Amino acid sequence: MNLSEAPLHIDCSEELGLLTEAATNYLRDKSTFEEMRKLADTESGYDTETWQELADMGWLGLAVPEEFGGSGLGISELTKICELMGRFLFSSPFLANTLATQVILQSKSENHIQDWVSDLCSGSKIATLALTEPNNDSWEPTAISCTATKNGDSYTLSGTKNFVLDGQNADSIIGSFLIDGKPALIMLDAVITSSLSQLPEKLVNHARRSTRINFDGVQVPTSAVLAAGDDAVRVLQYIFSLTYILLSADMAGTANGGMELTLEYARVREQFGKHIGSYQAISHPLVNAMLLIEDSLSLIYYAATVFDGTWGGESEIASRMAKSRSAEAADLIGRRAIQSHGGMGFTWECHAHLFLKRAQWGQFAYGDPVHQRRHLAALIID
Amino acid sequence: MQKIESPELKEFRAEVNKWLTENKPAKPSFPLPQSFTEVGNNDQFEYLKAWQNKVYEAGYLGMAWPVEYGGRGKPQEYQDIVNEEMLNVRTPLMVNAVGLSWAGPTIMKHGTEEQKQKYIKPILTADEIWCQGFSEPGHGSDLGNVQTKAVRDPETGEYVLNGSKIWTTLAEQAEHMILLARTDPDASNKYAGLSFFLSPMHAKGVEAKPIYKISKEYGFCQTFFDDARIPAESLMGEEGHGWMIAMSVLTFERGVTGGQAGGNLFEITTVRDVHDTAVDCVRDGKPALEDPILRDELVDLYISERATRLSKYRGEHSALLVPERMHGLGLANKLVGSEGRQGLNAFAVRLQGNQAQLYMDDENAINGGLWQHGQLASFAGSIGGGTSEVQRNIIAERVLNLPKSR
Ligand SMILES: Cc1cc2nc3c(=O)[nH]c(=O)nc-3n(C[C@H](O)[C@H](O)[C@H](O)COP(=O)(O)OP(=O)(O)OC[C@H]3O[C@@H](n4cnc5c(N)ncnc54)[C@H](O)[C@@H]3O)c2cc1C
Repeated sequence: MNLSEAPLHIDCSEELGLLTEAATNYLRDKSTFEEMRKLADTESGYDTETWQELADMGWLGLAVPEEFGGSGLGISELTKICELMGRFLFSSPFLANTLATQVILQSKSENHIQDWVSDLCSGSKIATLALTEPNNDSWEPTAISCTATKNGDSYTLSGTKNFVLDGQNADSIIGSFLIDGKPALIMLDAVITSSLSQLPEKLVNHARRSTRINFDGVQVPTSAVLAAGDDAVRVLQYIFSLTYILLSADMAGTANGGMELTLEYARVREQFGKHIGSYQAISHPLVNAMLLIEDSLSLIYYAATVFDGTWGGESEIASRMAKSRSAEAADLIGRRAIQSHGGMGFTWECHAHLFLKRAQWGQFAYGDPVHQRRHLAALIID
Repeated sequence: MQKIESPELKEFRAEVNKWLTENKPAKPSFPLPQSFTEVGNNDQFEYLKAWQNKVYEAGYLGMAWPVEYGGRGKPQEYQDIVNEEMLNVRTPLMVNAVGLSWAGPTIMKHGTEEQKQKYIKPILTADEIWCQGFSEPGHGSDLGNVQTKAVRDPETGEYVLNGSKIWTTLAEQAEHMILLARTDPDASNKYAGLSFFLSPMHAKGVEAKPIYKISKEYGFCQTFFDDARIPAESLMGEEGHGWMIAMSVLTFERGVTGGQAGGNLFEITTVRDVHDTAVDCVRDGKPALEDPILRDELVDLYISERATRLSKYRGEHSALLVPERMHGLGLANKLVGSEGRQGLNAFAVRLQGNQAQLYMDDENAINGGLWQHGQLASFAGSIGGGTSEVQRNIIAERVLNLPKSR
């Protein structure tokens, strides 16, 4: 198909401006390097008091309609919050919980919405998604080999999921399984979730928490099915596109944070009698990184503006474009941050590596740039 | 980029589109230049000049410039719409580029009432072409070091010019030059000795000698000044203010500041154009578009093109900018645009496989060898108007607040 030449527009509401200001101030204050390093050494990786504050500020239900206990804002606001969380390396189950909440809403399953959404917005419960598998190692939402087999009035699950974000912090896990060969989304309640044996994964980004879960033999009631068949595919595509955007925002924010750290150093560190920032071998790659970040932000804000969660059109194209470019931006600045700090940059103590590590999480989760462009090629070229 | 438009503007857009479609001149028998820096012969020049004149007479150029100087006194949105529709309809470029886009805006900003009365309208009509005398054989990037001398004759008030400028685009066609010259060799620093002139090209002692470009076509000149006398009123601003005005010129030239009369200075090539070429290309025995690496590159070009369009929109909305880098997008305009065009052309050549070697005039060349030509011509963008390296220095200093590299 031909790429649209149609009007391009980016959301830029007053609410968005106010939220940006408030969120920047809050996160700058909360999410200091010291604090985030401390959290990275804890088991859960996040602070429960802060989590409650996020709930009180309405962030946990930012893009959830007010009738379900949310703030009733949109994807652009959510995207901005993710960008700022990346900017200040903020760690929490925010992304996991937000995506799980959106899956429930998108599934339109009245019972699950009633039972869960307001608790997920109020911070009293945390949910996450289990969508990828070590078995097929694919970034496709429907590349599912885990199964749910009907057994009277329950399903018996089998198979393994990996990279279950904040799995160890979750009260509920929503996984993708095949029922009779067709995709389905199944939501595990708190009792079943707490009985799972979860294997914490050791990640490059040590500030993140994720687990690998084997579901063999787990029994769930038939009422646990959130969506099945085409409906499940629709929700999966929706959530993948949304994840592309939110991870892109996280990466662009991370890139901005890495940029600031590096610039501060390049302005003060002297060698050969000059500030290292005056050497073009230092400054020009930073300019290149800046251009990639600016590209990314433009693509991200646009993707958030046109987001409707469907595949095959503008929404999918925009979200994949954002993910492709912002992964490159965050990767480049992460690398330049380390290199520009010299020996200091190679130490644990220097903050530079934190940015590269966070960038790598965002880059490889849900499809790296090559993957995104391969899909875009199919959409745009074929 | 279209914004959410009022019915009035929508109607205007439709009207412009119709006019351009109906009045777009027929393709000439000779190849047209792809950029204003490539006007290499008189046929091309006359064709483009007639087109610019027609657009102006129709009311579609200088729309946001004041009526008293020949503009149409309308809000900038109107000109923006015309510019966009020119790209959509793919009309020929505006030949008086230097006049419309940087000399003119500079005169409007720094010129006297008389200078505005005298120069602006003929810029719009293309009756008087402008060229730019900044670079010299010895000093290009280091513009503050220019050595062409302008000595004031105390008797007549005239200035006597000696020295030479080089790479002067459109010098042969031009009536006037914006000229940066040294009036005070003993000034306290190199910048303080510079003055700015609106200098006649048809004065005794001024000579423009064409230089073959990379493509063996003409387009720029070396301009020699041999005791050339220009009137006192050629001086713009005061003596010693040349550097300040020259910097102002560059912000217009590089698209950092708005205020240009309008129209496109390049024939715009889009990724879609390259894509269309690619459809017919065979590489190593297979359709080029089956090659996974080329597919990846083509998609990446689409992403860049999209990002650039979106960044233009974002640049106009301060709430969408990174607070630490409010001027980043504006200052990056020239760099991003020129490197984008260069990348696009290079890709369009690369995907042709063995055929990539053929050049214009070879009957078997793909797309008439235009991409091969475009690839060479694209260096005009990354060198002219301040090189990409210099652009990066500027961004590093002014946007990233890094210490000066000099
Ligand atoms: C097609 C075309 C049209 C032009 N039209 C005009 C015109 O109409 N009027 C006019 O006045 N000029 C014109 N120019 C000239 C143009 O502005 C200069 O060529 C340009 O500014 C570079 O100057 P230079 O040629 O002296 O190269 P140099 O300044 O000698 O540069 C040589 C190389 O060194 C690099 N370099 C220089 N300084 C630095 C630095 N500080 N840091 C890093 N790298 C550096 C440059 O980037 C370049 O790669 C035109 C040029 C072209 C190509």
